[in-house]
Amino acid sequence: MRSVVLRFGLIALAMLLSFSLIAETLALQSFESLPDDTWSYTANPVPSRLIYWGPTTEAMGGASAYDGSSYWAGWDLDNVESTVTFSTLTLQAGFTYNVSFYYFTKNLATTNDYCRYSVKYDNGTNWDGWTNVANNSNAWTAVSVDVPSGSNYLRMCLSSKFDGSTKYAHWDYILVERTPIPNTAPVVSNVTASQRTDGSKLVDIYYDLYDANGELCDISLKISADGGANYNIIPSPANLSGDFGDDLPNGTNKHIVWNIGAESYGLDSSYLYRVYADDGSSPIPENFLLVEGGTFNPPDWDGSPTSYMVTLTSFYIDKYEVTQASYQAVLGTNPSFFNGNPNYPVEQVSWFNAIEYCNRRSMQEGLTPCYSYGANGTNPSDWPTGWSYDDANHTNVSCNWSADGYRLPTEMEWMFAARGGIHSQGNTFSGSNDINDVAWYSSNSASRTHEVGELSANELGTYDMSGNVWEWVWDIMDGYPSGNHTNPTGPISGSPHMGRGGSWNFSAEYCTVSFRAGISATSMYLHVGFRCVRVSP
Amino acid sequence: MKTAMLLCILFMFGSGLLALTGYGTTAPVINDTVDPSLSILSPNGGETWYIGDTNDIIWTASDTNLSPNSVYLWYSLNGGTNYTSLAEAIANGGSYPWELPSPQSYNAKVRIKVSDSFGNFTQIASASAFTISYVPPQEPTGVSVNTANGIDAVITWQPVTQTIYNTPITPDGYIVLYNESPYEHDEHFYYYLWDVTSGTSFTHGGVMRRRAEMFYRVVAYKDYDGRMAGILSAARANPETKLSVADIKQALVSADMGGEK
Repeated sequence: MRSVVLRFGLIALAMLLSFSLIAETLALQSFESLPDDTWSYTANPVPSRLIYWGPTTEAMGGASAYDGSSYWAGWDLDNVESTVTFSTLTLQAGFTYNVSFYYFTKNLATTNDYCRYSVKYDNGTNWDGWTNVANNSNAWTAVSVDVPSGSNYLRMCLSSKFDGSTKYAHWDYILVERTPIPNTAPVVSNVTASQRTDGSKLVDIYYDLYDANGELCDISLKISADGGANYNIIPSPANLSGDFGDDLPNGTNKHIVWNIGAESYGLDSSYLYRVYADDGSSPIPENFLLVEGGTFNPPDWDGSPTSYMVTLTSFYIDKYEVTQASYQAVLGTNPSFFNGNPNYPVEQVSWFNAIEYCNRRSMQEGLTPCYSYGANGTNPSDWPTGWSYDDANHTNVSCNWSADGYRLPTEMEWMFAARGGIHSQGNTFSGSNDINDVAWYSSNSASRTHEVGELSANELGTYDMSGNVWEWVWDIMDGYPSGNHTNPTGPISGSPHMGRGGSWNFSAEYCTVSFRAGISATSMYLHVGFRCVRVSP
Repeated sequence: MKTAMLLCILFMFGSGLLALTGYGTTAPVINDTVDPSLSILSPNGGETWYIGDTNDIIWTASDTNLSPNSVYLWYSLNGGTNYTSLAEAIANGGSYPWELPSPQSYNAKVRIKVSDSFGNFTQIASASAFTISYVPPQEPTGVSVNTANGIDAVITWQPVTQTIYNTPITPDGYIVLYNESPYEHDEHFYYYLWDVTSGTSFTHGGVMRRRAEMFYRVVAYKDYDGRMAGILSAARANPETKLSVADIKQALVSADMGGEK
């Protein structure tokens, strides 16, 4: 039984792979005037029976169509160069291409007469590189040309020239096929890096990217300080610009600029730079960022040190506060006070509303919801009426911390991310010591929320973790415990819940990465929203 | 169970979820984002260097990739507000002989900049001000007081003929100061007498009738830029105001440029 299952599996796998690699017709011209004859052409001179140059069903020189009933015939051309020029095809990446055709020649002289073809791989108009076919094949003879990899265009011209009523040059079944290239890893080549010598502490990194399948690639960068044994220097995304990040196409001479001077560390040795390309199947959700795990000392609400050491495992976090558009898409309503732009952060949402958003969004995307309500499961539709109207109900909500769905960050996850994670530079506000760089707050907001992501990002690339709207986190309010903790989730009882980051109507001291505010779970203020996190596999 | 697992594998292939990663690596790359270390040993504040004399500016600089001939030197006579270039693109030899220019300054600083081959640089100035001064006369010797007539004190001294560098010099004059207490190290208590003299003696008339004891100090001065004369002239115009050596020095310092005579 075991061998049968295994054999079945291997056969099925082989079939699938072979199916996925089968050639398919991209263009055909068999001169049958049928829908399958998709590769258009122009003839010069136009088809004529005076000197025969055109499609025919007649037997000419002993030939009949190679395919179907019609073929392109050339006879007694009066030494006029006669051509059939096929239209330029645009080729997609991810395939290999082949052009083939059949010719029939009879009695062409070995000099002066010719029957030839030219295949070009650009979108120009000139023709050269002619290849003569045999001058007296007296039978349909195949010609096959593989298109060089990486070609973006394909065009072809057939040409004949001769004179005499006993001479013939025919063409038929001009076919362009493409075959999917097996999923192969992207190739990163010609990687160079050099630090500028102008004191800017900028490094220019160049590379070529080629993914044979034509998939967009996610580009990341790591550096080794020990000759390649470990690539554990990871630039902060906020300090990288250029051809870096998600969904980059193939290309040469791609350029990344790394501002080392903005990192919290210096470099003063010999290093190896490695550019990684992932062919688009990154597990990082759209508009989320990876927060690499680490250990940190959370400052107290006023920024002073605590005796509390926290270790967090990696997780993904929203780059942006949840927008009104996203909230509307998930819950079908927009409770926000400030409107007019779908990319304003959603506000006037309670902690319960945020919980519901997380679960419903998870369900929409086929993920496992994180939150359950009592014994009523994870589907908010199954939760009791009024579950979100009473502050006391908040402890009925429990979290499955290993579920892959959306959830609120814990307070420590929020603070770790707001501080820039392992790339933290210890800024007072999320991404800067100058609040005006990163936050909409009482002195610059014009008394309203603003579109998410308008100001500068923090060290990780998240926006608005200081200001704009307070952000709900999971935790119930309490003082920080002492000692070391891993992935703490806060008290299991008490109230209220925590909000972090300050907002458009609060002054700077409330918008720090350390300030904590308690907000009852049912409150819906026009300065409170949230962002989500997800577990990192 | 196994079939289901295989189908899962097949699904992964079919749906293209099999992510593949490629990478490329550079040859070894030298990076240096660390600014050179630099410290000034001299003059780093408090020194008195004399115009025309040659002193060494001394510094230490280091960096993994220190650029050759990347040391720049400047000096300031106004505490660092403005700098004048002293040397450009010289080697990091650690010292530079500097013949002190005029005019005087009680608020002088030097500034040094050193760069590495990546353009990282460090630029620092003397930690505090130093003094650039004219070379003063040597102090008068052989000061003695004769009270033989029981009325006057006749103070005499040997003429000063050299600067402190043994350069021949003729002082523009001598100031005789007095005090009733021997505060040897407190210039505020050596009050300026009404007059100065270009000679080598001074008579404090009638002092024996008024004081039981008196102490004198003789200062030789060289008025390089004429401002000392102005200070003394002002003092003569207001004879009731006592003027100490410290007052004189302070008047010269407050005048932005100047020096002890």
